[in-house]
Amino acid sequence: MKRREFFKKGTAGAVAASMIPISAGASPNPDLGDRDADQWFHLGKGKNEIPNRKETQTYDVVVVGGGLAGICAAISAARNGSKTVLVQDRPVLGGNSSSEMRVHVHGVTRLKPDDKPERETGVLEELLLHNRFYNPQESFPVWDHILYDYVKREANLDLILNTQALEAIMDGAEIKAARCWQSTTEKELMFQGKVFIDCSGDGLLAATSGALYRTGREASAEFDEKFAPKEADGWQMGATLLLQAKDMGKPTPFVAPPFAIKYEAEKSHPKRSFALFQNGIWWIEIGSDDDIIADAEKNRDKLMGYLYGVWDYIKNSGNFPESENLALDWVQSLPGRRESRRFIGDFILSEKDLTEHRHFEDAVAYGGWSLDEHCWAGIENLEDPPSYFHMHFHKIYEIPYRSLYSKNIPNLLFAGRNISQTHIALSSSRVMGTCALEGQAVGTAANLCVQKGVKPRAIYDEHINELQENLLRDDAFIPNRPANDSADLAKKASQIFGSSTLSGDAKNLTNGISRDIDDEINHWQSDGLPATLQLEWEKPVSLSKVDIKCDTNLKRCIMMLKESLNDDKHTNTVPEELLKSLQVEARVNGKWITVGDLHKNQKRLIRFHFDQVRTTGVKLTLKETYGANNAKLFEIRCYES
Amino acid sequence: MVNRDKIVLVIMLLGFLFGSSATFVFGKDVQKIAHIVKVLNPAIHNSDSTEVVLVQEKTGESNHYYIDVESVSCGTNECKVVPVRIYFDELGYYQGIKVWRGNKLEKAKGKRFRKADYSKLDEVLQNEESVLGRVDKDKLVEQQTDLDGEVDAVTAATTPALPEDSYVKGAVWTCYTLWHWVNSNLKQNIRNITANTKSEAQLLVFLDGEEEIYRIFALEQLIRLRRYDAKTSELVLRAANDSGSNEQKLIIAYFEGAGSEVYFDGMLSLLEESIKVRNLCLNSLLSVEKEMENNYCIPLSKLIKSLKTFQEIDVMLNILEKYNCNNADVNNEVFKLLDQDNILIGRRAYWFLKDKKLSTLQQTGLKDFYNSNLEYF
Repeated sequence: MKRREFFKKGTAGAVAASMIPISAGASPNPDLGDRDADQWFHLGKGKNEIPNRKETQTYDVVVVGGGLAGICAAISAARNGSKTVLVQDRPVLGGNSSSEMRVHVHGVTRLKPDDKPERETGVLEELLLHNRFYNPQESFPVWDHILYDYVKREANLDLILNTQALEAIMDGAEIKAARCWQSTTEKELMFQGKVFIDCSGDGLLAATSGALYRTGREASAEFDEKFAPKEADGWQMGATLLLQAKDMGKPTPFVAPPFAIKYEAEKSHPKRSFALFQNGIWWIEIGSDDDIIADAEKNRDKLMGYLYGVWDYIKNSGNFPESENLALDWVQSLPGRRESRRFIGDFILSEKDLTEHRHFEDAVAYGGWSLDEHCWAGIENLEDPPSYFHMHFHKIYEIPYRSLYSKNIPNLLFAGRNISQTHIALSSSRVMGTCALEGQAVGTAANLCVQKGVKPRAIYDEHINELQENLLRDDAFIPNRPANDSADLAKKASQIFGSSTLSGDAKNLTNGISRDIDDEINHWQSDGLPATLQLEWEKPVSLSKVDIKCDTNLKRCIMMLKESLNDDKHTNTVPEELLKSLQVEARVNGKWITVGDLHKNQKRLIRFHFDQVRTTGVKLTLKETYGANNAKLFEIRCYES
Repeated sequence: MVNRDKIVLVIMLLGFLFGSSATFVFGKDVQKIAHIVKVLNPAIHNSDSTEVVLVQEKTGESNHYYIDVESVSCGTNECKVVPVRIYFDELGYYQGIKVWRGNKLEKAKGKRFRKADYSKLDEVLQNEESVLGRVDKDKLVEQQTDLDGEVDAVTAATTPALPEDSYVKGAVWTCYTLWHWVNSNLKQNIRNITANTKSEAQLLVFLDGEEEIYRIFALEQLIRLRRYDAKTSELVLRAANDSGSNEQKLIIAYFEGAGSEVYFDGMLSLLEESIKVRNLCLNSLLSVEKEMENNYCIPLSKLIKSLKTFQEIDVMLNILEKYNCNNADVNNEVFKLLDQDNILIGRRAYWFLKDKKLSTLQQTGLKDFYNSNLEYF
């Protein structure tokens, strides 16, 4: 290579030019696992060795990105039967919710007018409940391992940490493998798969596959978006560094480091609030109107400066006497990102789909956070409010499946902030609770693709009903889409009744709606405990599964908050409504036999699986909750197999 | 506090050296009795109870009560504390609050309560379901309306969100403190003290009276005092016909507290005469742990014909099975169910009868039933 070309292309180009590719047409990039040049003398073996730094593994589903979207995708794919790998580029799971970032897991956290949540169920709720049981101390580092535990428990699912997916290896238009680099082991890992899901936020795998994507803000005319700018531009919401302070019990001065950037309070918009500053200030943020990923390190340095500058202002301006005893205890080092690439699917979700609550026949998830668009440039634009908060929702909106798979890469799905949507739509759907629902949807879809040997688009074309029924059975909620599973024998029971009823009706438990919503009651609540719920069939049925959805009060948040709130909208403990112990019996030849007995239940979706019986009746005995006097159920399902 | 009451209180407090209550007769008609009661008020302490003097004012047949407390136990040490008197009626319901002349309740920044604030305070204190009963005191912060509840997804939550109707603006600590005095175990203490001033005859008059809250009070106390004589039991039974759901539960609880004979007699009577409490009776019979004499089996089985739904019949048959009711009369009653159109009922009867000793005719009938309905087995 000529010298001039070297300086143009850099070292990577030079290496690429001299390397033989892995296979013809596979990748032009260097073989990262090749260590032929090593001069390693292994004293233990008494000879020279070449490090083995290449592995190839094959899965049904490859999920890249171990934030909540990716975790939910991987668990869903694995649980439904696909051999799955979850690849995460950090040492911990959780993405923005991890101890490295400590962002709260918001979703539909508050709907107007009463600011109550419409909490997400499904895998996300399992994770949050798991945290309540095993992390009562509400430690963020322990939350990392709550997630680790949950993922590791899942059969069919392998977890790979400290590993970034660098490149998609293609076979024609399809992704054949994800080429990854594991930083802790120097290994190049190839994960071959049938279906790939990119939940990594920035979406490097998807980008290198050639999937269409865009960045920036759409012009208002493109999607008729009231809150979009008149002209398109490159602005993307920025990343933030958070902090946490602790009370030292005595005056603790602070001297700003030299890299601190002075906070110009006098220029700042009054909505730059310092409420609860000791738990982090979300508007310490830097956006970009160009290549926000390439600018990440530069912006991180600036964010450190701004953070320490703001803290200096708090400690030393005299305006916060309550800060006298406070000292920094934790400062985020890896900025929490909000926006970068948005991949293009068969449908681009936009503002009016949200604000006008458009109904989608292929709805698979929902959102409801406000249109929380942050000001362009973040803290480098002090004149504007830090967020425009264009609109708050009074009810949830639907997210279609067509926004979750690539328009041009046939075996690629995505979930999280990188889905097919406009910048304005992202301003609402980017919260982790909503991303988690998308993750569960794509993971479930990916499994269906594997089972049926089809691509994601075919799930929309031919199997969307099955995808939705699958999700509903797994306790995901889809607005305006009651469950109607023809295999569910509970719907065919002649009678369903409770031993007592305080509210609702036992018949609601087979109406396909697993929560109270839109001012409609869809539950049955006992009057006291213990209580029984009984189903009877005229003709005997064969059963091996009974699924129950019990109450965990979806109008009260259970995610971990630094403030650890316990009021009518938040709880910092296990929800008292959750059923703790219950028993299932089936009537076989006139006698009740126990087919399931659970003493320390920890889930809203309770599944009993037993040897198949031929029965004319099922009886649940609900014995105890975690505090509530009554038991409330939303659904019961019975299956032959 | 007026001087007369101060004298009363001093004398009462001296009386406490010798016990937990003291009596002072003031004037011809008003008798003041002081009781020491331990109350858990989380505004003061999360786990340790506080002793408070509950003063009973007895005038002839009627009783009123009050406690004198501080208006607020404040988490921020910025609140002005004034003495207040909280009044209760003889059933422990909040009646009102009094602040002594020269004192006023204050809100934040030294603003005094206005009339509207006192009205709102009354509403807050009377709301037994208030969120103040569930929120941790160290999270007591009012809505900051200047924030408009805005919060970014990357950050901490907004300030704790107490609904605005749950407190007087600027006085959340006062509301919290007083609410926990009003909605504490004081109510039950008052009810028990009041009951001790009533004769059994008076309690029975309440039971038969027009006011539901007095009927409920009477039932509660009859249970607590374990009054199971025939006359009382009869009146309790009579009360079932006009009872609301809270009373119905207490009626069942009354009989569940009795000995076996009174209990089963009561259940039978209720099942025979009151459709309203039928479900509660059947559930009670199924779940209660009492020994039943066999002579109840037949009357129970005779009730089957009055039961209409599969659920009721199923529970009744469960009850008969629970108490091993296995004799010809019982079996005869159950056998009649085989003729029902409802196959669920017929099949349930079949299973009841399947291992019972039946007449030859019945055995044949049972077999015929099975053979005619094979697809349902």
